[in-house]
Amino acid sequence: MRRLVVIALCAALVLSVATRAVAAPAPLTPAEAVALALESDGAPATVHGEALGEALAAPGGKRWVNIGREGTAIGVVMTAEQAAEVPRFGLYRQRGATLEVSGVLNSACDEHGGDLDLHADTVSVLDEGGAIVDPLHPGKLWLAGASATIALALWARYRQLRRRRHLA
Amino acid sequence: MREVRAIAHYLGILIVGLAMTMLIPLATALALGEWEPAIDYVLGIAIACAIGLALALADITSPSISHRQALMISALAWLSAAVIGAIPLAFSGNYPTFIDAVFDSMSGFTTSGLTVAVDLDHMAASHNMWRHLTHLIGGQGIIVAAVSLAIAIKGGAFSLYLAEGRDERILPNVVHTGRFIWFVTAIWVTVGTVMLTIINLVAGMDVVRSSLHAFWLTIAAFDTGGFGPHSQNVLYYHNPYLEGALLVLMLAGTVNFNLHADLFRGDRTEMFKNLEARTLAANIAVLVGFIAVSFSLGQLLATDWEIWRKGVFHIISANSGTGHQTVYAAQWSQFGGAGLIAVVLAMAFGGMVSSTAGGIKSLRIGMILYSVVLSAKKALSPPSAVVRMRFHHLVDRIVTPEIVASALTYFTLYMISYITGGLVGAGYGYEAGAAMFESVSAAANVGLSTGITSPTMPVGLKLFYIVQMWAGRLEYLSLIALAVALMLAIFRPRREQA
Repeated sequence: MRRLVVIALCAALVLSVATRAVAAPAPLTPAEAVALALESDGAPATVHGEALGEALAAPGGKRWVNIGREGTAIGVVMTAEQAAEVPRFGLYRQRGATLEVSGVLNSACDEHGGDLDLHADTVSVLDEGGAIVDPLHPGKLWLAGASATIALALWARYRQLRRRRHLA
Repeated sequence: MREVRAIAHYLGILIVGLAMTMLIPLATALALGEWEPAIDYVLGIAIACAIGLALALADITSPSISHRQALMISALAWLSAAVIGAIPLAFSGNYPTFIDAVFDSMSGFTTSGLTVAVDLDHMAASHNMWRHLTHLIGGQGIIVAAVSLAIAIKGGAFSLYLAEGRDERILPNVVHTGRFIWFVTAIWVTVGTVMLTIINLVAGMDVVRSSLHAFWLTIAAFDTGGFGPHSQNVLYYHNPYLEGALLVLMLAGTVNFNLHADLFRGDRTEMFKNLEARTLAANIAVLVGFIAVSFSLGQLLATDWEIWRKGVFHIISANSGTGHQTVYAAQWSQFGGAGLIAVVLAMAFGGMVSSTAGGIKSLRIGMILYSVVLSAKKALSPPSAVVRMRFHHLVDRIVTPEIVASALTYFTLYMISYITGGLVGAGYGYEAGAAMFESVSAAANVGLSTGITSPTMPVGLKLFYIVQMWAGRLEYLSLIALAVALMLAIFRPRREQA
């Protein structure tokens, strides 16, 4: 009897995981979202991407937050409250928060002048982002110093020759 | 040999002048605490000065130069600018290879706007400053910049000025004309920057980013360049007011500097009488009509507002040679066949001569159309009749066979370049239509893209587009002169030996 209960519980667990995997669509990259929008206007989608730049004003008191990944970004229309929850935006030396946005894709949104966009229903922060650390390369400093020395020597020679010929 | 030394001298002087312009991104890096990019610019300036001074030492007497030498210096100056300008970009980490950095540098100087930068959204402000400054320097002309600043090229200023494809004689001497071009640019850039800063501030950007983005976008629009500080280009802002302001700047950038001079003098009649202005206006109107019909048939971008924001914006972006884009590469299919052809034609025709725009140019298109009308009139007239046609471009002129031949020569050279580029792109396995679109965009220095231009495209195609952008900006003649001179240098000694 105990064995049967364990088997039944295991089967239920496997089934529930399997069902979830089938039901929940895999999150898309912004490039995949753009492709899906063109293929199926108005499709629901979940997109993962890094919040870039800043939140910008959108009509109706909403906000535009562009999220990007692998070189492509997509504009997400969200409420001001949702945008305020984004802790960090991607900039030079700063990795923006990774967002999971679920909503509806529009290939040419009538509300926003024909822009291809994603109207967010839910926005969750998967990762808060942070600083991008890239230490100074000493090799560059050496190269800069050497090049500057050569340039200064050539400049001195140029001036000297011009003066000798009374050209400068 | 003395001829080559003179060329090397002036080339060296121009490279040193170019190095000095890198002080601006260096100052930006220092002001914003971008230490690594600051070193990139110290490095760029030092290497450029070293190369420039070594070349300048070839002949320190600043000799006078012939028109042929001037053509060669002009062609080599643009190539050198692209290579030297690529040095700090190559160290930025945003370009996988040096060729990629040269691609963006050439694209910047020729005001094309095609880009192969990776991770543009995290690029340092100083590197973005340099990318956009290349538009400003190239848009006005590398030699115009040097002439205006009287950078030690007095011996060859006039020949060099003409060799860069400039023929404005707004003021009696080229130094004053060059300075006038910069004066007009300074006014437009100031007005545009203020306008766009306000728009960005209202949209929620901070003061520093607002003003920097405003300055960059203004330069990119007025100089008909098309770079943007984000991977989405103008789509990043999702802002109709910003797009409206850019429309005005793009149109201003495509206007002949002679017409700007007339407007500054308060003479508006020239703008309405000028054949070139009329041709450009008619061209834009017809192509907007095409795109409006195409959008309406396609249903997706069918509202008036969408026709304005997507249709008119992209026609003017293409016709002015700017290349600012508010759609994804994959979205061109939404424009429909007629819409897409309208965009390609707009790119191919280009803006006005003596402006920052590329392409065949409206004046030449107008001349070719006039010659068609003239031929028809001649055919319908008695054989003994003398048929003439007049046109107005700054002054009243008669359509002569020489003028028409010149227009047809440029038309042919551009068409050869467009078609060759399309064939090369198709040869690399890209879809023919997309390859032709990209080729026209590169050769006419526009910058709109179907997605072919990317860091992952074949190196051979990158090099081909680099040459196309270079040749298109110089309107082919300087490059042909350089090629002929090189061939003569290679083959003549052999013949003499034989």
